[in-house]
Amino acid sequence: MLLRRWALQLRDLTAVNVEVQMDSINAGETAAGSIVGEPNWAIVNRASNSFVYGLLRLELVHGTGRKLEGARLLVRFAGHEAIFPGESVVAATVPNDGAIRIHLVTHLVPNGMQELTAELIWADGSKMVVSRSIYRVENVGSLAHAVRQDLQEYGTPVILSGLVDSRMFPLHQGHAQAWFNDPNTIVDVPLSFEPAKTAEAARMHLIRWGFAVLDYVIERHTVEAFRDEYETAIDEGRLRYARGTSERIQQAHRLPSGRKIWLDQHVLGFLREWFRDEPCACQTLLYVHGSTQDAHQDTIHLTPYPDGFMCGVWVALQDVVPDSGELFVLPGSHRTPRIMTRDLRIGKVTEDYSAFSVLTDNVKKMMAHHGFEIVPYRPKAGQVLVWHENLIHGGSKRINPSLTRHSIVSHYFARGSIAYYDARGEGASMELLE
Amino acid sequence: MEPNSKYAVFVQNLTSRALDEPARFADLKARFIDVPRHIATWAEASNGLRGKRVVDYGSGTGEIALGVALSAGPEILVGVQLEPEPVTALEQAATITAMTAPASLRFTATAEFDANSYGEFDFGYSWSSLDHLGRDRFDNTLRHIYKNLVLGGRFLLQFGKMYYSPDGGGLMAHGVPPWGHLFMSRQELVATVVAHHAGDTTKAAAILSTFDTISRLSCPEVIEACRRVGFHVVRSYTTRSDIALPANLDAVYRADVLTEQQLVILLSRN
Repeated sequence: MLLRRWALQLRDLTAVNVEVQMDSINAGETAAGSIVGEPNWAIVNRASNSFVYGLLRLELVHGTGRKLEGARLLVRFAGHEAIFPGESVVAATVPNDGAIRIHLVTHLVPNGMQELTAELIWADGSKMVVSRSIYRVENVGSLAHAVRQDLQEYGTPVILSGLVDSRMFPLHQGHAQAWFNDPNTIVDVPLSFEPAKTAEAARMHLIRWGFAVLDYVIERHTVEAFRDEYETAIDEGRLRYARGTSERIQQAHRLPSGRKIWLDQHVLGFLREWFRDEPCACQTLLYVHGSTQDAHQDTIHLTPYPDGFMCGVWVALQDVVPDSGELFVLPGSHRTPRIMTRDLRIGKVTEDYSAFSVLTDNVKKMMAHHGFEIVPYRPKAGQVLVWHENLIHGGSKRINPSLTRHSIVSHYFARGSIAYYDARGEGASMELLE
Repeated sequence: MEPNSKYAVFVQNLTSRALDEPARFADLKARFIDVPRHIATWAEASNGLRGKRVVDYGSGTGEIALGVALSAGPEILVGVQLEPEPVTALEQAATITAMTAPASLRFTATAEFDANSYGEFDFGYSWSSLDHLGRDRFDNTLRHIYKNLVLGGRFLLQFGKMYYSPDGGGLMAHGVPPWGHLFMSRQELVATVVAHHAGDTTKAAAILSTFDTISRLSCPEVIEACRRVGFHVVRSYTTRSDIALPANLDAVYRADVLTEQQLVILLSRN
């Protein structure tokens, strides 16, 4: 038995360590041809491989320096087989890390132990063979079941190539629908930026306006402990951030107090009720100053199938004051069309998001068309705002650049959903918080 | 629902004529009306064709492409001609109802298609067009199709008559019995076709020359070739012949291959 520790160097990794259990086998017994070794590979978007669910992203690094033109990647998972020929293999390779990417739709295979193998075969017949790996698949609950049915009907492949696109899922055609997207659930509650009186009132506000301030505040000592921790981590270089800028800081939820906020049981309880499914954490973005980000929907960046099964949870880490570059929201805008890369006819991106100016233009047009009000949000420290994935929001201009706007936003998907980053074409990270 | 009122009139007129004179108009109706409807139905599973970028591989004289362009409202429909031949669709249509070609429709030869860089397509189809390609050319064409589709884009591939089906040689209309192209010698085939056409050897030679180019691929081979290129097979549909198998063939070929008549496969670019 080989226990492989992997991928600290891979970006956007949810887990500190990903462990893949692999049965060591004699690769020479599995296939003909000259076997030149075994590539490094792992599922990089799950915190633990003790069991897996949803859309898995595998990354494979062959590390030979050989070109992949003319190569083929053969993947077998749970009795399904797919061949990705030369062009496709190259397309799945991210230029900056050399990883080949493959996605597995576990919704489409039975729950239980499932086997995964792969071979990377070059044009000259030499190959790298990935040892047989066994994963315990667990897609449970009514959402996962409904998604499975939709994907089966639509014809989504079990094994997807390097890039994921919304065309691979049924989108508007599926039967799985979020209860809160049903127009019949709307109750015309007044717009408010004050904490809701009850969780039910928060839900009604979230349905009506696309966001809600929860009836709950993160305790002051937790907020202060977190600020102390990340300030120290920034000073010590453990978190990357250029002081005074609007840069986002990633991975702050790895700090003990950050994790406490991530795991806040009250927030998770609210999301559990909202999704009617288990919430899974995806990522956090910590800000010292306002983000100054253009108005946008999260949908294209953090994309769930079916619609609505992703929420942003924004926690104020200080009392937010005017001119600091406040978060702004456009109440009610979550019911506007969801914009995907397919609609914009732009390709997937890695680091350069310049093509996304067309997204900004589209959102602006939508804002002008619907005449939504742009409202800044100035909460007290510890207040928690939850938004619907499709709500248009952004960061105001930092009129007084010396003012801070300490805040952290966490993104959560419902466990039974398909979670991916449409902009990047990658399966999203999901961590079950237990 | 037809978005073009002239097309609606055209559909009505052609349908009436096909009922009155099937020998003359039934085939035209199939290509202008029925096949575009079948294609639209298969495309419904991926949000339809309206506003989509669509490619017709092997558009031939253009009737199906024109029918799809008029009825389904794509943003663009490029008909790719695998062999050089005049596009006579509009001319043909005008014999029923005068129409102008929609701006979304254009035709091009394969080489020009590559050179013009039309961009990637959301949906493509090939209806009874790839059944004269040999194995190598078939694989290359599939690769070409794959390359020109967007990620997650779909392609509908149809073979009207598989080679091993009763009329897989396309010779039954020329006097050859079901599966005759499999069990008759070349000499017997020539004699049968010549006799059927009252001794017209030139005509018989032309018919048999077309027969020679028919793809010998079986359904499993077609599906395997699609997978080899990287396509995911979303679903496949096969119609079967109910003609009784001759005993001599039953002993040589697999019955399931001999009865597979039409193959329709919906593929997605993975």
